[in-house]
Amino acid sequence: MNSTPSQPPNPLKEGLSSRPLPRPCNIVIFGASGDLTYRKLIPALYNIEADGDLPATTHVTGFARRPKSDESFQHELGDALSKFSRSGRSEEIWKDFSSRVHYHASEFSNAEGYRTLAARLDALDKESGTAGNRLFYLSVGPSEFEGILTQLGDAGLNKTSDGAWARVIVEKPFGRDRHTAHDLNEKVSKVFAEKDTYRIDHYLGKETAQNIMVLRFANSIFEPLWNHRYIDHIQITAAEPMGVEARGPYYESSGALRDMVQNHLTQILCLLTMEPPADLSADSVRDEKLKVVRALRKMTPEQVACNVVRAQYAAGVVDGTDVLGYKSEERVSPQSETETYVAYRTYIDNWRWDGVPIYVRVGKRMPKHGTEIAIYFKETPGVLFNAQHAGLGPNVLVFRIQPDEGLSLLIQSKRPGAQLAIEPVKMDFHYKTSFGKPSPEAYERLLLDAMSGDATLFARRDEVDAAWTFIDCIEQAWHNQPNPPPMASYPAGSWGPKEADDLLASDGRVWRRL
Amino acid sequence: MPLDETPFGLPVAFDHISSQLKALWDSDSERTRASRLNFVLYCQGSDSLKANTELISRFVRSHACRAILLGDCPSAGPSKVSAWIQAHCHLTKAGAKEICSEQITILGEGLSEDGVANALMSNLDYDLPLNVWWQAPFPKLPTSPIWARVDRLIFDSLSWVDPSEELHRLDLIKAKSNPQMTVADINWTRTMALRQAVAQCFDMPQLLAEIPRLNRLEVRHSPDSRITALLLVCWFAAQLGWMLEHTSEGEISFRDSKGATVIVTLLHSPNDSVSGVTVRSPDSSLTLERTRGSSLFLAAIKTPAGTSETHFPGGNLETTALLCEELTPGLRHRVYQKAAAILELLLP
Repeated sequence: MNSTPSQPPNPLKEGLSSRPLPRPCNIVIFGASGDLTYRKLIPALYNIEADGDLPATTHVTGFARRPKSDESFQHELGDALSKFSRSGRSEEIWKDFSSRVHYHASEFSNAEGYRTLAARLDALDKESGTAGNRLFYLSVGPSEFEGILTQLGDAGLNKTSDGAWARVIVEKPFGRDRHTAHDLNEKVSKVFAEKDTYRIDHYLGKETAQNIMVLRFANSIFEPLWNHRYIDHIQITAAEPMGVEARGPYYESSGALRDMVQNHLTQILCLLTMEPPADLSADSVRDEKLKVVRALRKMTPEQVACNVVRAQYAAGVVDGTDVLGYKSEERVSPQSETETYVAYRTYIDNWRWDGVPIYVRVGKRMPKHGTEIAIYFKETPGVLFNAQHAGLGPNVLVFRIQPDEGLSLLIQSKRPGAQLAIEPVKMDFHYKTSFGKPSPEAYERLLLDAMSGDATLFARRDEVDAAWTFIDCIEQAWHNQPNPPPMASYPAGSWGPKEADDLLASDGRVWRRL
Repeated sequence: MPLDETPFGLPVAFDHISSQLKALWDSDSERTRASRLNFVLYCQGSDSLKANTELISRFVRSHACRAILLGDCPSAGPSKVSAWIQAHCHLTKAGAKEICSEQITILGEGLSEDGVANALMSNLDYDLPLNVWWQAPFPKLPTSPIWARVDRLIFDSLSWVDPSEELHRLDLIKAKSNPQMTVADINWTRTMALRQAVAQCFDMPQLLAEIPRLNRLEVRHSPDSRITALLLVCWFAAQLGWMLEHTSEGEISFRDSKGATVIVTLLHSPNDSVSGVTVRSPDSSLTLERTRGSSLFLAAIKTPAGTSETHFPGGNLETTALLCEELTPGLRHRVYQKAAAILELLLP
């Protein structure tokens, strides 16, 4: 773990927790008036406090443009907390917590705003003994990153006194291609060292995502089968019924591939297919993930046409309600060429995964909400039962990332009776059934990790770079080639375009039904 | 088939428990049986069977399990075993599924130690970890084969009549048991929220710097919670390297690692359990206090730099909550072993 002690260890904390404990610090949220702050970040910090894990001297400062007092900011956050906190709101805890929440109004480009922020943080350090530890959360659009980082550097807020640390958490999207990600990385690295840069991917904070590594490496039965000799193919699906809502302009510049695949789904794929790391340190895990991304087969424009389907939703019905097509959505161009759905077939060109197709699909305006990974094992040899019963299905291991986090395993079983009839049965594990305790929100885990100096669940610069290299091949084939593959269409509320079904049908396979 | 005919469910013949349980589940396809551990609750006599059944019904909401409640009644006559089965069901948060755990209640009269072991072992759910809450004095000589099978031994030192003797017997059990067995004292968990709050306060650099200079510790506790208070004192001593120097009814003295004396005072308080603690150095102090009815501790910190107050979660002292906390994996039992070793020195 990348913990940087800012003071001598506290002997009273030994043995109180099985995880690294967070250090007291000042947290500054840039873009504090945004939705993420109200819906996720403050409820996450409050719940950490309610669980007794937030160091008592930790202060939170919201930094945003709109003029606002500390009190009105606290009041607004309190209202939102009642709606979005998983544990509700205790007045006593909120009173304590909110007394340590402040608001700092400034334009992101105003140097004076950062000088006064520095003075404020210094005063809080003195008052509460946070020892100069700082955590900056950039909850802003990527266009704001450079300005904020430069100003933080100019104000000396990236520098720390002896033993203290200054870390930055960066929200996706981290660039829109390899070139812009490289530029952003360069800008970040001028201000913060890589070890202090935390690129957040909230998917990795989910229990099932973390359980992928546990299932693979804490059980002896799966790893021997986890390769091209026993696995036929893998399907990853991320479906949501929502459209672009109010995010039209953002989505227009992003699309499904950049919004979901470059980060969330690639990270999940890495955890699923990486080699066992030498240890559980952040860099050992990330070294292995990086090898996977680098081994993802890069596609030529011709291969993109054969292996990737892009599509937009047309008008349709979702949850019993008529909904607009993408091009009719608010603040979306009627001539938009942005994909709301993408499905592709890829391969990891290494020893373990040679020849195993990995099918990924992600889309908006799907019939239901769900993210899952399905591992299809190879069928048994065509003798004995498989000879007598044509079409015995394969064993399928499914990780449900959200909702209803859990695992299931499909196996073949004899149906009771004198006749030899074989049927698939499902063994199911639901987190909610087996563990009554609710899982903490992904942001709680990730914020605690960042305060503790554990970067295992955050993407490293070279991972991001390698992921963009893979994505750029597809984007370039779509947007920078003379005859790009066509944009398919699917009715809102369906499971995607026919072309995506054809992609699997060409291999004799079908998409899993969620 | 009705699920509840008596407070303990459906009476069944002891040798038909498995088949009756199967019949119970087969008769109800709308419910999902879940189990990820065996939870055995051993008590003496039949008086607490009803209260323990209520405890199990709350406990299984967060720990799906096969629960076996065994009431062991000494009897001069021939041995006799009665058994009941029942299901504890609850809706999941989404309300879509009803999740059930099963409880087997066994009332054994005049059973030998081997008879008790057989009654338990013949009803365990295969392969699942065995957690035993022993709500009785430990046996003088742990000869029962059950001890070698236990994965987690739960007890509550607050209920011990002779703590010194119980610690001795616990050592004998540990010598007989599976080396991986976890020892879980519910009473240690009662102090957890207080220990966490104290530890959090010492994150403050001004207080952290005072650790080598701490010279007084006061623990306020209800009259019946002396053993809980002593466990807290032992935690301080174990974590800060204090060596026992002298002990009397109201005061204990330790030597810290530099040879300076630390005086510990135990004070009675009208509030539940351990309700407060004050730790002092010549220039600073930390006081944590739980007021009656509050779910929080109020911490008052005084250092040369100033004073401050803040709240911490007070933890839940309800037995089910403590039990659930005990079943959460973690490292805290290693610290408990260190504290229990000091406790043995403190007890008469």
